[in-house]
Amino acid sequence: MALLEIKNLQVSFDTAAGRILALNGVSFSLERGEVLALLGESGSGKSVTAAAIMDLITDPPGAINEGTIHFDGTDILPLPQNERRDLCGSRIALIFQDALAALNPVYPVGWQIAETFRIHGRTPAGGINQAVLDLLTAVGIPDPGRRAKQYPHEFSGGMRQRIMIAMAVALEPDIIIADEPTTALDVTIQAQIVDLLDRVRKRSDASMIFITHDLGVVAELADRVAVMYAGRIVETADVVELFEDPRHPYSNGLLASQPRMDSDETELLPIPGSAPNPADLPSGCAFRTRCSRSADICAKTVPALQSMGPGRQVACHFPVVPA
Amino acid sequence: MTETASELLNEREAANGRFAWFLRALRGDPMAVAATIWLLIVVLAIVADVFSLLGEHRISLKARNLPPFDFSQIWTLWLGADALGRPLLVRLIQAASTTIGIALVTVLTSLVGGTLLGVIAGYFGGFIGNVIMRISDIILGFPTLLVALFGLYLFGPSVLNLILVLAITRMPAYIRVARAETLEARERLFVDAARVFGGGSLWILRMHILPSVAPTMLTLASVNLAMVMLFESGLSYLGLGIQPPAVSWGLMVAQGQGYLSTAWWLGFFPGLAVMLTTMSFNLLANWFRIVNDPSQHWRLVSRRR
Amino acid sequence: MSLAYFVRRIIFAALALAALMTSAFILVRLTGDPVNLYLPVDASDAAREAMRVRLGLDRSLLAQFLDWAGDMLRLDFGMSLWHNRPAMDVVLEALPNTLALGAIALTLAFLAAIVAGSIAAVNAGGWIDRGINVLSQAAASVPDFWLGLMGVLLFAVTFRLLPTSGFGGPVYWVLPIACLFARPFGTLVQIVRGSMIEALNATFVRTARAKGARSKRVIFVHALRNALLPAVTVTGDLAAQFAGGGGVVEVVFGFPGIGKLLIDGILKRDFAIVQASIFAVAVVIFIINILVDMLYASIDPRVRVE
Repeated sequence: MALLEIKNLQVSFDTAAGRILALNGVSFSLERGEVLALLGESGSGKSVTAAAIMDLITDPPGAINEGTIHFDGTDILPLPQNERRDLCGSRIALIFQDALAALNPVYPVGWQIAETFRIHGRTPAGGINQAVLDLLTAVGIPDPGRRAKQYPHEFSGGMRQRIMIAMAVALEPDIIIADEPTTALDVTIQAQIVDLLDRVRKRSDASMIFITHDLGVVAELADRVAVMYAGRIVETADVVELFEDPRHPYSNGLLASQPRMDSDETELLPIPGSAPNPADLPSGCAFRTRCSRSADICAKTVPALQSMGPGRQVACHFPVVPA
Repeated sequence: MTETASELLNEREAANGRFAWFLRALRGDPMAVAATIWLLIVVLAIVADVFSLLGEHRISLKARNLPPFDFSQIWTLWLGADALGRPLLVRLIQAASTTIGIALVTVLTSLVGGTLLGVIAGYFGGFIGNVIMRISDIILGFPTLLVALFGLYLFGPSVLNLILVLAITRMPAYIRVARAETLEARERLFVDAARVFGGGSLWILRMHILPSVAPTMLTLASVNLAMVMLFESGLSYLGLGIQPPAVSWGLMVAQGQGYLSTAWWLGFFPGLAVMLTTMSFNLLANWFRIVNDPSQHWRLVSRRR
Repeated sequence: MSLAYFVRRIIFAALALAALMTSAFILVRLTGDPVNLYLPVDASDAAREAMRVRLGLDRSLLAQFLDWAGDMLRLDFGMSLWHNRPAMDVVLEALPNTLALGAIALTLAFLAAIVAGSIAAVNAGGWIDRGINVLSQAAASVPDFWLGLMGVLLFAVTFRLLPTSGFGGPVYWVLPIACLFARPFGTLVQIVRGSMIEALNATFVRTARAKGARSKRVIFVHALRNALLPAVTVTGDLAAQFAGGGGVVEVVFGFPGIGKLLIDGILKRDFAIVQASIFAVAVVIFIINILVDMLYASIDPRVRVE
């Protein structure tokens, strides 16, 4: 049985323009020790999915209307709030995109890492200090004794993200959710952070959901990929299969718009148009307005996510057929 | 040509849409509705007063300190009468004209003066800019009431002095904001572009800087309206603001003070009028801020709480 | 907190004070007869002439200015006409009363506003929030002198629980404190509510939740400390306003503080008292501003007082 199993998750937000569906029936699963990349443009619902798992959707204006999230065999959505909180930080941890905003500006970073231990009360108080120093060393922060007493604004962007990672892996969680952890960083630092994440994950054999729009990182880290578009999963596939043989026109378009090392093709094909307004989605398949393969049926019925071979699902009326 | 026409059309549609949205947002906030209604009543009262629709009200010793809520009397006496038998309701309406008139003129003066000085300080900078900012810093460094009291002491109490003193003590706040906004607007690319195309300083100021400064300044003015009313009432209460025979709400409270134990309504109603009006201005300013902040919109339309 | 910071602050404060006092000196002489500031409008010509000689107004403007500046530097503000004592002595007697009154009212308002503002923010959009909003808007909008009179009407005249005015034991402090409490409370509730809502929506609060922190910890440990920052700044501004602005309330209750002294000085045309009170208030404000900067730096590590 999968470690995490999300079924038909629907999340909405009330805005001045009316109610928008941020997630519209999202289903996927995550196995133990697996790295799943959630791939999609901004606004496709990747971060909302993470927020739903971590019980971070503010109600109002947000609400989870439908669906189940099974973690380790239990549906966690109906659980009382305190039990949800107990899972967070200890068994499922989240790393945010912008570490400067994600760290509390008025407390020293060592204190903030130690807080994870103190909240869950599993580590004896005397051992917390040493545990914090060990973590800081493990994520590559030099002079941890001095640095632990400093405040977030006294660190560089890359160092702050290392602190976030230390905080997330403190209690060796089963799942690490990394929400675009490298987007706000310089390119050289990005590689270091991806490397570090991979290392700390392997150390405790945790599973990871890596949220990104960066195909390069996906290729490097992920075992499997779920492609999201306008609040739905449109394709899930093994990472190699997706790169070599994308089936959904959107996945296909994403790959065609990127330069590739292993190909002679020099022409990049951007996807025409732009991501749809979530308050005013096209009927039927949300991608049809940008899709060269769309036909009448695409405007009428939403294509269901259908199995196409082992571990592979595609939601399209006219999937791309391998040449 | 067609492009400009369609732009105009779009603008009008946007304006209509915004008006409709304002109405919709107003429905979601009962306090803002109450504030609007109260202010409409005050405005109607002022209009009635300005056009002398209230009729003549002579001193009538028979009605001396007549208590309120005696509905067998003529309507002007429903809130009672003062020590000279003048109907309190009519006095309140006359005072409304003074109090609100002074507040409006004061806010307008500091708005125009502060915006001009702030834009000058921000756009031209240099020596003049520095002098303007230093002087504002000094004025801001002292309590508003203190500066106003001192000014009225030096120049003597009169309506003109009251307006000038209050306008000048509130002006530094506008200057600071206008300067900051101007600096920001000046940095933005479109001003550079306008410069390249040869617009003169005045043209740039009028076409680019003022439009981007105006919204913030108007919000500040709406908040200041309430503040100025409170200061005017306080000064008039102390006898340093509006002088008899003119009448303002603050002065009425002072005049009613002596009758506190025998005719409470003389001091009660004018103070209540100050509070309700100030509160309405504050509530509307608040509501205005929310309406102009898209991230807060759901509060006005969400029906779930 | 460096020495240079203090030196710079002191220099600016001294310049501001000098500018204010000098412009007062000039304005007094520009706006007509300074004798008007000391004598009632209906004073006799002989009395005016005597006052003119006594004040040295018959001498050259420069001589007057040098004299005046010398007095200022020696903190000699002259004799109070009404109290018949050096004005500074009278002011120094009144100052502690005002400081105590303001400090108590402002501290209470600050604490109450944190509680009310946080409750409103946590229940944002709900009925509790709306109730607190109306209450705080009313408190921020009520004229303090009127609130004082109504307090007297209710508690002194009708129920005879408290004295109407004067000075003495704790009972004399209740109504003045209550009146001075209202406006800062109303203003601060709005500030705390706003910054608390902002803090509760901040990413670092989401981090705390993601770490497994329960609501109490999220609100009190993570959001509140950040939400306090703007409230401290505004409280500092209010404290500066209070150093001379408790005035109207002090007059209503006959409370012997610096506000009443100043307003009486103005109404009775006692220029020495006016000058000395303004000077004292300016010094107090200067000290308050430094204290607020230090407090701010101690709760926000990003601010280093430079």
